[in-house]
Amino acid sequence: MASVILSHVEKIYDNGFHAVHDFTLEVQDGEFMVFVGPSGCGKSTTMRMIAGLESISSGTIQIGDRIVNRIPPKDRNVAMVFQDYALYPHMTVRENMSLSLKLRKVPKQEIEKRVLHAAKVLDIDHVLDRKPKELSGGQRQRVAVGRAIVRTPDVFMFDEPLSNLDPKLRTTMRVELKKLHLTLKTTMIYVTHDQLEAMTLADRIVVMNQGRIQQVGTPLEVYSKPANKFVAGFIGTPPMNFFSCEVIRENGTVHLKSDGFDFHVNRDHPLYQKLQERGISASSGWTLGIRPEHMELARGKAGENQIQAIVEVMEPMAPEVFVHLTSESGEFVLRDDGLLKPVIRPGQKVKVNVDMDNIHLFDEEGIAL
Amino acid sequence: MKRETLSAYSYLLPFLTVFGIFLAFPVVYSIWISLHKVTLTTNLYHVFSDMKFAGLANYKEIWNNVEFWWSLIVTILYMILTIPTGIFLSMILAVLLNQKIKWASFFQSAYFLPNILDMLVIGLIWKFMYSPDGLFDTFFMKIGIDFFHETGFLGNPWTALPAIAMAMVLKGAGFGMVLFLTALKNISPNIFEAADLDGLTWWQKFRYIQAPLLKPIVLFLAITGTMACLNAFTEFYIMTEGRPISTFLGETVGVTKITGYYLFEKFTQIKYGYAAAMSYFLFVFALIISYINYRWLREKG
Repeated sequence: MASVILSHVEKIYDNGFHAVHDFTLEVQDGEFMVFVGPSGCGKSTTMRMIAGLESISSGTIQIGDRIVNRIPPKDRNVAMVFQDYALYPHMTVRENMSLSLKLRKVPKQEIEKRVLHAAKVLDIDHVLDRKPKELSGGQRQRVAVGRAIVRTPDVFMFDEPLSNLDPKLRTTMRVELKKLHLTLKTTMIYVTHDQLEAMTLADRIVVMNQGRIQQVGTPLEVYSKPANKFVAGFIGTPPMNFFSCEVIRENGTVHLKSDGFDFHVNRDHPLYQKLQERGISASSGWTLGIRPEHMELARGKAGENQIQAIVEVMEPMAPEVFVHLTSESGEFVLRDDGLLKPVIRPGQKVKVNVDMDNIHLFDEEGIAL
Repeated sequence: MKRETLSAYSYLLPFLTVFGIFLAFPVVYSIWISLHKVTLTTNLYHVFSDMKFAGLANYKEIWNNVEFWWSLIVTILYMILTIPTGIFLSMILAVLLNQKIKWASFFQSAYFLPNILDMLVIGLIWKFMYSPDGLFDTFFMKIGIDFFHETGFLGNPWTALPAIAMAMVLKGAGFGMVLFLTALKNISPNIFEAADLDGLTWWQKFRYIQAPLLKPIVLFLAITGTMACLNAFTEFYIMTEGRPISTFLGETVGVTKITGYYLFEKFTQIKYGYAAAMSYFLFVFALIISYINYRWLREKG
């Protein structure tokens, strides 16, 4: 077990592509850290640098109390699970799991004990003498995890391990990985592009984009206090709705104004205070972000902080419904609890209430206020 | 017979006709020939219809003929010289070209190119290079070795067979290389990274990951190589015509008179029965060797 400390790590490829910029992060001992971001954001590269499969252009990586920049992968005592499992095709499950121990000259009985134990934990003890091609996708994944476990590494790394599984199995394996982490209590670094996996598995999430860290925080933090527009849009399904608006402060109220709405932010709202601190009284180029779950169809008469819209499409997800709407300020989605009474229809004009306690405001650079 | 079966056979008919005339019939007919002999009284204008029945005499003659056994020894030597080296060389080329190197696809095409050239052309080119004052001799003379100057490489009993073998190994390596490369490219790069983390050395990666995958190709190349050696003719025809001469068990023999060439020679001497019997002999031999190859490589897996 060990912590992983990256400081000012950069990755520039030979062809000049700058894959990772100034990556500084401390993964605590025993923490489940998830790197999430769109493809090409540098998350896999960062993990591969920690594993030693990719060289580091500058900065340092420390595992435990060792700086590992120049230590080859096999001596870093890290184990990795790959998206395509990367099992040795001509070896049985048992051989796959025991090879690394054999090469490290671990006594035979000890190898046998560890392999059996891992196989039991992962429920693959009945396929130990089969070859990978005779196994199902889920079983192969377990073998890949098993091969990592038997080594008792300081750090586990997972590179999109569930992407090749079908959705149902993915959910099951997700839970099992989480259980595994609770049992092993080993530091885990997990790379995924699936924000749902990130939210459900992580102790902390690192959101990355274009080679830079956008935000580091617990799942709840990145969800409820996104640092910028990218994080806000990336975390959460359906993604946060964005409306461009202008900010006008007068008579103790801030107006967030656009063609389709005029929302009022009162003096006791945190946003009001922040705008006041910045001395902003009237400016344009702002982006208002509201999550679909913080909007609801207004039943009954008109009120404050509403937006008028036309229903376009409904996606019943059971129990909830995603309602896609279009307004003068652009298209947006809201998440309804599914008890649509009276039932709405596409084409219908509706009023939508906004939960003003859960709105986000981003400046021209996309930084959250 | 069902309609479907009938139509299936009708689709097969064109192939079956060609197969019957050009393959099945000659195979059966040559058994008949192998049991007959051309004699002094045979009408040479109707040789095949006027051969005399000889029973197993042709087979007996082959069995007792030192020249035949010598040709078989030459063939086996030729196999030993070409097959393992050919497989080894093509595997090395494939492993090297599977690395991330510049110009990889250029080298790939360049090594494969000799395969599409005619054997006659290749043989002729090498013959020039091996001849006295040819490319190799000129080089050796420059560094003060005149051993090959008098006869050239192909005229010396010790170097003739290895020289042909080298030419053929270099010609064939590109073909094996393509097969090996295809197999290697099918291995996910992640497996090698997993191996890096597991601590496998370069050799262990080859041994545990690549080699098992290459085994079927080794088997394939070993069997096709055996066949090629038993059928080898063109390269000997163009390069040495069975020469140079040496002696074996008191008989004068051609150092490079491989079975394929010996067979051809008997045929040109209108000993059709003998030649046909010999090809059956070689057929049995080929079956045995292929079976041994197959079993040997299977068991090791």
